[in-house]
Amino acid sequence: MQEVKGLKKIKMFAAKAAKAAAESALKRDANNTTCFAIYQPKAPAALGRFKKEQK
Amino acid sequence: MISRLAEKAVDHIFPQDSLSRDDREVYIYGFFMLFSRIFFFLLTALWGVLLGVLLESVLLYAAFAMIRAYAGGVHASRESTCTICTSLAMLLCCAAIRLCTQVKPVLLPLAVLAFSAIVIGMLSPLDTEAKPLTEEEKREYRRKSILITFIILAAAILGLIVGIYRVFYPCVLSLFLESILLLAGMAGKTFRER
Repeated sequence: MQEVKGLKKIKMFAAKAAKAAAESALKRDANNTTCFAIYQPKAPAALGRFKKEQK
Repeated sequence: MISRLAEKAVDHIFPQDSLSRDDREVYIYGFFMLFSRIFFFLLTALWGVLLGVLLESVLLYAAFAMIRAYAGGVHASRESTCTICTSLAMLLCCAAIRLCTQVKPVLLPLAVLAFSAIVIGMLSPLDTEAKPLTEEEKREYRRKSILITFIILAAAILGLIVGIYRVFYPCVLSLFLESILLLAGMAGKTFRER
């Protein structure tokens, strides 16, 4: 029972960490010209909310 | 491949129907960016290990990632083409570093460095239809591209002066690769406009 709870906690933590990592990648990409790879997927419209405010 | 992995990650992390369509799209995009960075970093490091230039390959990746982010350049139309091209590009650069560390040329890399810096200075940033830039963004990213080019150039020259060729060659190749991608991108753009 405790093991199951423990695994659940680890899973939740991993999900939070992955979500934070993806949001960090979005913030970086929203304020760049392009990505590293030689393929640029179509940027979704909602990416704009991750852009830094223009001066 | 990476797109499918990104979709699976989103489906796994977020409970079903908890995300709007727009949010789901943006998170898939975010995971794609994250996974592709990790994948190509590991691949470049693997080439480095296989060719005995691990430190140089990591430096190459870091320098190229910095300049590519702002300068832009050509993009493949399909993800599969991209995976092959990016992998080959990193392999060729690592192989070139390996060759250079044995032969230790100076004049040719310096000429390549100068050529690359000029090309990047003239052509960056080069955006794509998939992610177009506003005029303000173009001005800002142009400034950043030139600044980053200058930093990598300075690191290369310093490496050469001090005799740390492990810094010199990766910096040269990172700028050279970016200049090639810019030239290819510009050529493609010009061809499409005609």
